[in-house]
Amino acid sequence: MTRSRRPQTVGTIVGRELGAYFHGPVIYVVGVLFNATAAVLFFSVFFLYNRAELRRFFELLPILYAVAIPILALRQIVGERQSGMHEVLLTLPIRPTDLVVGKFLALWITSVLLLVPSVIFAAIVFLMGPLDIGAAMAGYIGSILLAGALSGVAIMASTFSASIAVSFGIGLVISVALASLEAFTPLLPPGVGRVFQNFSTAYQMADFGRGIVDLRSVLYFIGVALTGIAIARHTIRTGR
Amino acid sequence: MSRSRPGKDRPLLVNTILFIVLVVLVNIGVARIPVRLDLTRNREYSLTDLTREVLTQADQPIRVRVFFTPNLPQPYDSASGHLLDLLREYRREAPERFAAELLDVQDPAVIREATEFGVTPLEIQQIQADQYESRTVYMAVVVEYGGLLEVINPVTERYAVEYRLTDSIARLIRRQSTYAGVNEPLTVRYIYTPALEGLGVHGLPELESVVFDTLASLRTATGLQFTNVAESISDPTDVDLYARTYDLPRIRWSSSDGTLEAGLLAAVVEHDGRIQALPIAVRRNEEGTIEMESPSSLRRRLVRAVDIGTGVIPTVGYILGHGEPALDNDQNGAGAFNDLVSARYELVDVWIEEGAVPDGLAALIVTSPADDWSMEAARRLDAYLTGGGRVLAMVDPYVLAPAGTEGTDPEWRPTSTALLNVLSRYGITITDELVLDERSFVAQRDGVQRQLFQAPVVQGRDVNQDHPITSGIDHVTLFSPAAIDLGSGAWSSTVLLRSSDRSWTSREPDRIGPWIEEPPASAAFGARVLAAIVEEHSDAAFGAGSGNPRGGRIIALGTSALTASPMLDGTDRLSNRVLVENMVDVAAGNDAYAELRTKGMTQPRLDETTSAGRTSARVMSVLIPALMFGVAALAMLLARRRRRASIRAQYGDAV
Repeated sequence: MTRSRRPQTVGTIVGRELGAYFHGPVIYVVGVLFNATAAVLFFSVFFLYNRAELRRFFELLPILYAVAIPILALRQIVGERQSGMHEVLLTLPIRPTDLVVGKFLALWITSVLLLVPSVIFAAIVFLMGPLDIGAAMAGYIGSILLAGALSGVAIMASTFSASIAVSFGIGLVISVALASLEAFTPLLPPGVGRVFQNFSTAYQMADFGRGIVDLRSVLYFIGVALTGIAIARHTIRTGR
Repeated sequence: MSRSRPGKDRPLLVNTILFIVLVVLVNIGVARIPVRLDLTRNREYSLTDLTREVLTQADQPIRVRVFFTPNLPQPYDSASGHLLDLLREYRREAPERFAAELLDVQDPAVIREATEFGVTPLEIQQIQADQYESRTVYMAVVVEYGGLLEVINPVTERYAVEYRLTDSIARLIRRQSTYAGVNEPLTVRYIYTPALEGLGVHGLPELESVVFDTLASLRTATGLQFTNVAESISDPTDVDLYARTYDLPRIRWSSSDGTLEAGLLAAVVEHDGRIQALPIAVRRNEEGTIEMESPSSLRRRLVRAVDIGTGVIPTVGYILGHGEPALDNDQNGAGAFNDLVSARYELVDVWIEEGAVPDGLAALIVTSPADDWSMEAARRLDAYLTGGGRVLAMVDPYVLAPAGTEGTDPEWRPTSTALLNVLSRYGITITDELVLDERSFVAQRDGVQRQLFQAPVVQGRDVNQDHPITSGIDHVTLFSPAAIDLGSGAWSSTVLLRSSDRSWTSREPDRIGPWIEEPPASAAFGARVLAAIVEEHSDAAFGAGSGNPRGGRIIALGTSALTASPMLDGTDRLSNRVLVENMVDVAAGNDAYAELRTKGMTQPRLDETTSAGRTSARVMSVLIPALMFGVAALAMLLARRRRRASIRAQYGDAV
């Protein structure tokens, strides 16, 4: 395949994957549960804190995405392995990189779409107080990057095993671990704690929630996503 | 697909580790490049224009030493991270003039250096091995400019870090430039009674050198000249004379033969007719030994006295002569107000009944008079305002007249009409209506909660977020404020604080108290203006710290309670303190400092909500997203059916 046709190939894969997501029931079930859980958790304390801000909603996202994205990724590579589609795909003139990137982009877009209904949270907060639109925008930028990072992790996990349950478990454990690392840092020696803290998605998301787009956090999320993609690609190549 | 790539044959584990290492290295690398985009409304996390302007004023290097213990637990870690990020921003703004250095406070030499600067460590609690433990840490910053120092200690929270840094740098620059214009030497007297040495006061013999060495350092750093005079006062008559002349407290003790003796210990700074007396505190501690003020504290007070003497610290007038709250009375007067304001200004007495308001004041503060103003005094205040003067008026509509000598009860009477008339002329009418509010302070006593309707809590949209005085302030608690009417005078007016829609008024101060359990049936509810500013120029922009450089302004608050300790002291009174500091700053024309002080304080509160409103919000937040997904799923299902139907129509049932 020529290099110039690669974007077209990736685009085709993304289109196919998105179509598959939206023709199946999983996205709708996960979407409803994701937003309902976020709504319940966010608004259960929202009036106690009495602040017209979405910061606590964004703080919930690392853990909510850590559960939702591995579920969405179930139909990815491991699902195709079980359905036999994987072998079919590998017989096609598609490079592993294109395959992984296409699937990653589809999962990322789908994960971001899960967030769309949450604008209703922003609208409610806006109606109830002086919501800082700029800070909310930063939160959404962080959320999109977070979704990308966890999509990379989920794609990587989906290549690790032929079993859907095992791949889902690996993706879930890594994502939840990344989200909850920060919670354990007070129990660690401060120097070690600081290192662990920097690898926590919750920690990296905190600045976005406050209204700051920090290059360090942006590169962290991109780094995690690329790590996932690279490992997934390598796993497919070596496993062929 | 067939192209060979380096690393293609490396094992998975090696590739994975390599990539993770790369990602870690990239993250560590960029951790040192704080490129940040601040999307918050008020640029809460970016340097303000004031900071940029102050940095451009520096014509000598600014050196910042950071004495911070590494690996602090939260929330102190967050404060240190924010401080270091800010220092990088300062450095980026003025790379040729600004340098910051993080010092290793585990090094004994650094600890010695910190002690010399007067930096004291702090005791904090942290969790270590599942247990709380106490830890001594350093969280201080020392700013050096032109050989002069400012110590910021401690820095325990993110709030106001930029304000404290910028204020310190600005003060150092101002000090340096002001000192350069002082040609006459300052006279500094060290007054002491030698017999005090017999009491065994630790450090007393070295005190004289502390005073004069401090002056020598100032001379070396700034070129200021001093005439040093050491005066040994032993004779009781001289002790009385000096005590009266410089208003110094006498130190009294019993000698070994039981006779009562008195002595003096003080420094006095004199310049240009102004006298700053600094009595040095000596007291017996719980162990029975006699303690003296620390040398570092005395050094700081000496530098401040020199600052006041040379005009580095601006002076603000405080009107006296009508029974106003006394500035030196912490318990029943305005001592807490004086302490707060003296961080940036020197409050000086203004006896307006005796003469005109003196020139050179940055602002004038008027508080509630117990006695009437004369018409002459009112005319003097009017003349001051007409001449572009700035006034902060905190005036109650009623004063409690003390019990008479003939056994009459204390009674409430209206405040001096002469003063109120002057304010009215400029569009500020402090009415005789006291505001009570359902949104008010809840006091807790003996486990019982009681709502004090006469102490309105102003918050949310009732705090004007577009004015430097109140922007960023979350809430303010007032006590017995009067409603203010804003007239349509020549000066432009802006409301700063407003009561809630559920507030009402009373003209009976004697019937207002903690015994009120609910609003009266006849209450006329509605929002009332509680604080406002009127300014001479309607086109004077509040924003960007420009203020109205030449025009007069009056900031008015219908209560003087904000000068008292109960309304200013304690961690839960931070907003009240900030409001007071901001009012004085804006009165003095330092609008940008007010804006900088409140930066980062913003806690955007919700408007008043009802139970039904909260329930609706919760239900809608769950239902609407679910509906959106439901509709999307239905649309997708219908589209699939249509597609199938169209395929069937095209190819028949066999498909």
